[in-house]
Amino acid sequence: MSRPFPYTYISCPCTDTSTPVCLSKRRGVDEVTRNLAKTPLGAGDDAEEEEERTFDPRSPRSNYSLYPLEHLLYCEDCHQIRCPRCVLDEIVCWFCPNCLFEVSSTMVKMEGNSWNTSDIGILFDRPSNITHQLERVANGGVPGFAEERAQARKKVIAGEDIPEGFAWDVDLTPDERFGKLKHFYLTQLVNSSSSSNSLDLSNSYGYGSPGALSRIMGLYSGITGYGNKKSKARSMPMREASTVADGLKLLERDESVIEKMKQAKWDDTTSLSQRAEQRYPHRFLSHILVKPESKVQTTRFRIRLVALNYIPTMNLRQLQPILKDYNALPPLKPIQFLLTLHNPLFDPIRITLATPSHTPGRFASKVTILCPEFEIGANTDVWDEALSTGSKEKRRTKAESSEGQAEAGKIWEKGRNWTTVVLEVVPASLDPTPKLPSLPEETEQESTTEDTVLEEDDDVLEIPLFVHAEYETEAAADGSGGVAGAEKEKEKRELAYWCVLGVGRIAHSAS
Amino acid sequence: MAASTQSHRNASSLRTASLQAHASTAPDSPHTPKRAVSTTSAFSSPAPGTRDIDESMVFEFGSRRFRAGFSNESAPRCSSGYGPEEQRRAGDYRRWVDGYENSWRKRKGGKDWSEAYELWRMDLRGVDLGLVGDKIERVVRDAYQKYLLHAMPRKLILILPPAFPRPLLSTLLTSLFANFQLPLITLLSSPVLSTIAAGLRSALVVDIGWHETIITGIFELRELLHCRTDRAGRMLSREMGKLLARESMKSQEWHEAKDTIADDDELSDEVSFEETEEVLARLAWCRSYSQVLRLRSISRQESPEETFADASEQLETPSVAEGDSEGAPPTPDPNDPAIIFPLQSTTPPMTVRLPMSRFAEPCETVLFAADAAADENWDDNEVPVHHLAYDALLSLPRDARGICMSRIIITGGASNIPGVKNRVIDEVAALFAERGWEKVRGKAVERRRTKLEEINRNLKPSRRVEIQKTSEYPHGDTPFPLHTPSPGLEDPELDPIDEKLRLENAHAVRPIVHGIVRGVETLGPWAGGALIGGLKIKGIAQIEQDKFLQQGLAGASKEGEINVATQRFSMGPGVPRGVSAGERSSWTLGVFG
Repeated sequence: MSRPFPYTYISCPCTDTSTPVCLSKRRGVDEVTRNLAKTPLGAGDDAEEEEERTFDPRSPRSNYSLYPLEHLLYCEDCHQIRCPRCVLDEIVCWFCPNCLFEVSSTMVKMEGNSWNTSDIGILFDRPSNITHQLERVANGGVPGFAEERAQARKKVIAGEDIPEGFAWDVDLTPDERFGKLKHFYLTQLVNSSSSSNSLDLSNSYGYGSPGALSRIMGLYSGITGYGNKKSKARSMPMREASTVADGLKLLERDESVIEKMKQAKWDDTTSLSQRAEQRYPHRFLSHILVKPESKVQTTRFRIRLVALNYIPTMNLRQLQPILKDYNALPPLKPIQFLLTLHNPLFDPIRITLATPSHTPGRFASKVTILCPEFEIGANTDVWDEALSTGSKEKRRTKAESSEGQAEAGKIWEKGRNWTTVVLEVVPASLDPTPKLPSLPEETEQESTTEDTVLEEDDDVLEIPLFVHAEYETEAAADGSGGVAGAEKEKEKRELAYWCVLGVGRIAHSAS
Repeated sequence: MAASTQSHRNASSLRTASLQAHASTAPDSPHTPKRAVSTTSAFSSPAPGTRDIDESMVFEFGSRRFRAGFSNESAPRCSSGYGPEEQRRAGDYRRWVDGYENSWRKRKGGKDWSEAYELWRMDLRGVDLGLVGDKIERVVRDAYQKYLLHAMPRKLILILPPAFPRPLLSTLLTSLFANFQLPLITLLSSPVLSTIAAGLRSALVVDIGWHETIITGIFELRELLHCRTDRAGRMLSREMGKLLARESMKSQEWHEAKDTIADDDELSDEVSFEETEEVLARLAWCRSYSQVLRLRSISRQESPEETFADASEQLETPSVAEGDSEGAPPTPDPNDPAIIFPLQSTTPPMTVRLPMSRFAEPCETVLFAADAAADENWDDNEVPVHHLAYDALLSLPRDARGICMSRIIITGGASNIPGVKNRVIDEVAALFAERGWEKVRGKAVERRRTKLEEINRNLKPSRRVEIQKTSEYPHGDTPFPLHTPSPGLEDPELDPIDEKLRLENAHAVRPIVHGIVRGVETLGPWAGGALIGGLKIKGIAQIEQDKFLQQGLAGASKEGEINVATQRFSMGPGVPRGVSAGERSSWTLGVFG
């Protein structure tokens, strides 16, 4: 289970526009693509229908667009909800939990990790080559085997004369081989490309090099000697790497590995998770790192406003306390829920809710919102509520609420900046054939077939809910008006989005 | 570790590297080598470049893994999968809930064995492209936030398999351009980059990937041909899954009755995909060719009709039976020790004891089709890897074939299984030894060949006699021989000056190895992309963000419409290069179009 029931997820409207925008633009060309994309979603619905289709919390794509309200942001400029997908994070500062300093991200990238090992009593001479330094420590200050090997390898890299057999024994690490190859290619490029930059290699046009300078001199002075000499000498084409020094590595026999495997036990082999850690060691470190002496940066905040301050919060709870566990909703029994919306804005909002009468998915539950249109008061001063006469208020006593019958078209309760409406849900039965009382033998047989096997989350009751909010607010004061008039111009704003109410899990009919 | 890779990227170290190059090759005029790395402006004097600014990002998308990092680094910064756990809703922490591991059967639902773990499959009929776009977006964002730590716009080098489906390419580019600030994407083909990362210019690249094994013939960095087969990682993991499932069923009493009739679905519900992959990564291995030959000869002695796989089964059954019959450990066989490992995903969890040789079976049956008859007529999509490699070499032009056969690069995820690379090379060598480079095979050819050999045999002795004659009578007093050996057959006279020149040039011009079957190790396509990016080599398929978002894939012109030559040479050195808008009025997808 993802979160405790009942929960609310909000679907960021960016999802539907981010990918298909370009696809729909090229309707003629990529018709095939569109069709391909459509087929798994629903059989044979038209493009228009697709636009208006109700949000399906069970489709695999919904996982990417649904976020808890706390994860969302709100952009004041475009008046839109922004999810982590439509935001690019730029990390200005990193905080080190170890030394409690903040470090700018350029420092993080440049310096990397400067972890302090003096805490555990180990001091390194230099920040690189940690393995060998550790080995030296373990060896009592004497160079160990690894260091000897490293020295031998250094000789190979330097291209010093080493007996043939030995050269192959000392393997280059991928890192070293990469360096060799890079060196090799650079050499080749320098050799093969004439100064006229025929291979279009580098950003610079070689003004820094005397060779290019001499060529230009030749160009102006009319002495042809410069160019000719060069072109003769430089006609050599690029060759391939042919020695170890160039970075070539021939395939070697690996029977020894298999022999080693024979001796190893299960625990001796490296698991996948270990491999993932080994190969990319920066993974954790780059987060923690830090340089203590750098001063705290003056952080520039981008407009990054939390959606909680702009979007009504939704809460769901049951009307009558009949449910003990949201993880076992009784099937085929109507349950009434109270849906409370809190308004964080300083203007009253008109809300319109809409939901499909049956939830999508294999087991369709019935959903009815008894009062889909209502208003929520502004988030005014708390004292207003206490001082004003309670004309707007509509409260219910405990007794009322426990006995109370919800009326269609009327709100249940209303407070200063919140309104509660009633939502009636009839959870579906998880039994695929509920009306036919089948023999136990049959059910046993059926249970092996694919249809009756419950998949993960098949029993979760999730209600897609379309929220349309409308409110009037003061137009954004951008300093253009000069003198602000007594009556500021009101601006009408709309906000519409899908969200998902996770009600609970339907109890299995057997239990 | 971080420090070491960073020093590696250091601009100053590169400069010294290129200076060394300069010294060793001694060009005719003194010049500072061009600084290929981190030049901020075309006109600035060489200054300690601001590291990192110029490095482009390198992304490699595979069906199972995504690798991302920066050019000029030897390894990617991150490599992440597309597993179902990475695809949950935000704030969904159910994987940490107790007992989560045991509900994998429910999660799998009616899906295919590995579907939930893949980004895409090449059969696009069942692929939801929107979902693919979502997955790409999430995995890239994750890489950005956790590993790359860069939000500023950067150029991107995108590594893709050859002949990539257009709808997928469109989805991929759309989600990259729409969600991230990428001014320019360069498309590069993975086998070419594998070749570059091996230091070569021509090669036969055998990429044993997830969905398919792609064999590409590369000659002078151009793709000559592609061959594909389904025998790859996915089949391998499925086969390993079946092996584990059968073993676990064997040890459960209630399954004993229907052990033989267990079908694929049932088998795939026995052991989870994750655990199969774990076993595959830790225990799978591949027999060497010599071992296989030994096994084959044994099987022939015992029962000529039986196929190879049966024989190996027979060889191994005794130890299994011993292990099963009683709890007592079987007699330890040093060549085939038993491996004991836990299986968590079966119900109930169990400890399995299997001889080591069993873990070689999936490789045998999947990659090399050892269970099939020696020369079966396979469908196009199920040719065994070594046959496909041989066929690919056979269909290459003769010049390219000679070069490529001694540069076989084996890469891809499944090639990391110990023994696979050598086995492929050995098998190809054996096929070559058996058949030569003859496209025509069969009885008629055999007959013809024997006939020719007979003729040859009849001819040879007479000639030898003649040659002997000449040696018998070295001087002119004997009758002149009828046939003098042609001058071409004689050893050429040694020219001391030539010899001297040859020795002098020996370090510069090395003989090109060709005509023998030889394998070469590569650093992999990602490293190739990082090399290319580090060398600032411009690609043919370069796509600009604005243009793509306006025009989509349809805006790409066909290869050939763009005059590459003018782009490369017409610009004077004074024109600052870079991502200038007017530089290219049209763009192309190159080989991907």
